[in-house]
Amino acid sequence: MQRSELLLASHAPFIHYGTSVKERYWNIFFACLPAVIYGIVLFGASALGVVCLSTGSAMGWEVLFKKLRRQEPRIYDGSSALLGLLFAMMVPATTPWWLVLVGTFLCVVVGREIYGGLGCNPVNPVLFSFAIVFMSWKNVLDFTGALGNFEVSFFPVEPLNAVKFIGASAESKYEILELLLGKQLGGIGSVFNLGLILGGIYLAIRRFIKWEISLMFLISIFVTALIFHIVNPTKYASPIFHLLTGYTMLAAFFLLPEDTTSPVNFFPKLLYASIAGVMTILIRNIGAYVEGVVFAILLSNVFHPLIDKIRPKSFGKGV
Amino acid sequence: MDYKATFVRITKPTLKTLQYDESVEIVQIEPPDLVCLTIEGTKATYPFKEGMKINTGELVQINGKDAFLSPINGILRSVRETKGYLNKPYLYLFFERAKAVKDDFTISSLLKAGKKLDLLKILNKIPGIKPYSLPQKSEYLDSIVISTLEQDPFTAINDFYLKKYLDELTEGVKFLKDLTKRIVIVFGERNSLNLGIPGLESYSKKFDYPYSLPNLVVKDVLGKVIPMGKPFERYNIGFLHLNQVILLGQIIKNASLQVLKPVYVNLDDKVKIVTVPIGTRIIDVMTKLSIGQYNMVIANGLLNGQSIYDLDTPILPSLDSIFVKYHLLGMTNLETECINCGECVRICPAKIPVNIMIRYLKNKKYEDAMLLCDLMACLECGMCSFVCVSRIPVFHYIMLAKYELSLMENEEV
Repeated sequence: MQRSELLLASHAPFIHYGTSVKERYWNIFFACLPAVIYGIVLFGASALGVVCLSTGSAMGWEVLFKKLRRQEPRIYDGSSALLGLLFAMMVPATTPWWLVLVGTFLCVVVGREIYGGLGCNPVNPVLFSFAIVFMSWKNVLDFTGALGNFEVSFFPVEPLNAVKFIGASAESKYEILELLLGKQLGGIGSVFNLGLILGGIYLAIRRFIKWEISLMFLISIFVTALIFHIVNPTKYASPIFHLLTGYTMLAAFFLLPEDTTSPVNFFPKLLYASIAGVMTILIRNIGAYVEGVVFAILLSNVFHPLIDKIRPKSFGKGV
Repeated sequence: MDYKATFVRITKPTLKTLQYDESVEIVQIEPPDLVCLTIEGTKATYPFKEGMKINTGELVQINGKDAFLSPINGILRSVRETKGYLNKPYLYLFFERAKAVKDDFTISSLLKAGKKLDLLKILNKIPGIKPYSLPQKSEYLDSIVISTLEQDPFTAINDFYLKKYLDELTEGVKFLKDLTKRIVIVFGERNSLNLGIPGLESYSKKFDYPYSLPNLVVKDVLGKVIPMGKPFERYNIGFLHLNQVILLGQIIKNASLQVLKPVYVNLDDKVKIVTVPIGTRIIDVMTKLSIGQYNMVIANGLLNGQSIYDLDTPILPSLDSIFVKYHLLGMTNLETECINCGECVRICPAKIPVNIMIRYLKNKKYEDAMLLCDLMACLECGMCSFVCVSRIPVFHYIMLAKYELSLMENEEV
C-alpha cells in the first residue's frame, strides 16, 4: 500500500496576499527620493556624496555584521538602505565622511542589529544614531556650514534657530510658500516639504505607513504650537511655521510611523502621535534644544509597548 | 479568484466567495473495489483483525468499544498506522468492497421509531464526520443555525448544493426542526431561497470571508457571542454547515448510509465536481479524472484547509473540496521577524493582538499567549497568515499552540 510519490505538505493558508517586507521598504525608499533629489539639487554634489555614502555604508554594515554572526544578509529587502537614506536626509550636506560612517554604524549595528535585526529595534534606529551624533559632534553638524560654498536666494539661517534666538519676529523673514517649496536651510532631505508630503500621501494610500500616526502628529503639533502662539505671539512662532520647518514633515511620514516602534491599535496610534507632537513643541519652545522632533520621537518610542496595551476586547472574552 | 493586493490598499482585504458556474462538468465515479476509512487511534487501541466483514450501517465494535459506524460494505484487507495533522495518530483501514448490498437496519429502524436524537448520535460515529450538534442537557436545542456560506472562500460547493440538492436540504431541515425551538437558515446575498417550510426562519446578508465564520454568523443571526474556546452546544445552540444537512437529508431519503458525496475538485484553477461513494480514495478520483503531474493536494480550501500527503486518504463526509496544484504554493523562505506593521491586528475578526501573541508563540510561551493575548479567542480563519508582510506562518503557530495547550490540559486531568 505504500506509494512512492512524495507530495509537498505545508500548513494553511496556501496562498498569500502578496505583500512583503521587500516591497514595503523599497517603496518607502522611493517615496523619500523626491525630497532627496531636491536636496541634492539645492546643496550640490557634496549632498550627493553624503547620500550615497550613507546608503551604501548602511547596507555594508548590515552585511558585515550578519557575516560576523554567521547569518544570511538580507540587504535586498531594502531596510538597511532605507535607514542609511533617512540618516542622510537628516544631516547637512557638509557632514564629513567619517561622521556618516559612524552614524550609519550606530544606526544599523547598534540601533538595530545587536537586538536581533529587522523588527527587533526598541527605538527608531535613525533617530537613535542621530541623537548620539548630534550630542557628540554638535559643531560638526552645522547647517550653516555649507554657506561658504554657495549662495542662496533665501534667508541663510536655519528657521528654527532664527525663531529660537531672535523670537517670533524672525518668522517674517520666511514665506510660507517658500518654506513649503524647500527654500530654507536644513538637512539634505528635510527641507523640501512638498516632496515629503507627496511621498507620505503615496505611502498612506498604499498603506506602507500607518497614516493615523502621521495625521495625528501634524494635528497635535499644530494645536500645541497654536496654544503657545496665542499665549505669547511675540516669543513663539505660528503653528504653520512649526509644521514647515525642521524635521516635522520628515518625522510625520518617515520617522514616527516606523513599523517596529509604533503601536498598531487605533487609539494607541493617536496617543503615541500626540505624545510625540506635544513633546516636539515643548522642546522647541521651552526646551534647551532648537529641534525637538528627535527626542520627542525617541521618548514616544519608549512609551509605545505600554500604550499598545490599550486594545479592543477580544471576541468572546468575558461574555 | 483574484486575491492579490491591489495598488490602493485603504480598505481591509476581504475575500469574496466564489459562485458555482452551471457549466462545470459533473463526473460520477463508480464505486471502486478498494475503499478506505480513517479513524483516530492506534493499532493498540483498536486491534482490528484482517478478514473482518462489515456491513453498511453496522456499528463496528472492537473489544467492546464502539469504533465507528460503517458507511460501506466490505472485508478488511489491511490496516496501516499513520500520523496526521498535528501528529495525531490515525488508522487507515482498507476494505475490499463486497458486492452484496444489505439493508441498513440501524438507520431504517431508528427512522421508523422516530428516535431522532439517537439517529444523530449514531451518525456522529461515521469516520471523518463533522459531528452534529446535540443538546447536552435537555431534549431540545434553543436554536439551530444552518449556514449555507462557504467554509473557505476558494470553494463553491455550497452554491452547487443549493442548486442541485434542494430535496435533500428540505428533508434534512424538516428532520432537524423537531429537535429545536428555533431554526434559522443563513444565506449569502446572492443565493437566498424560500424552502417553504413553516417555522423555518431565513436570514440573508452579504458575508465576505472571514465574516462567514460560525461564531460571527451566530453573533449576527442570534445576537449571541459565544465565550472564547467554548463549543456551541454548551450554550444550547446548534450550528450546522450545509453539507451536514445535505448528508442527513440524503441518509433519510435513502434510509441508508450508502450515499454519493459531491466533491469540488480544483485542478490548477480548472473546476470539476465529482460525486463519489464515501470511502473512495483520493488516488482513485485523480486517476478517474486523469490528473497526472502534481506535487500538492489540498483538502477543504486554500485558506484554512489541510494539505494531504497520502493519496490513500479517503473521501469522508467532512471533505468538501480537493485542490490539486502543479507548483509549490504557500510560504517561502522569505520569512523575517515580525516588523509590527499591524496588518494582522487590523484583519483579525476576533480582535486578538496577533503582533504581541506571535512573539510569545515563537518562544513557545503558550500559556502566556493564552492568558495575556486571548489565544483561545482565535476563530481559525487564517487571515493573519494571509496578510502577514513578514510572511510568518502565524496560523500554523496558533494551531500548534492550541494543540500543545490541549495536551497540557489532558496531562493535568
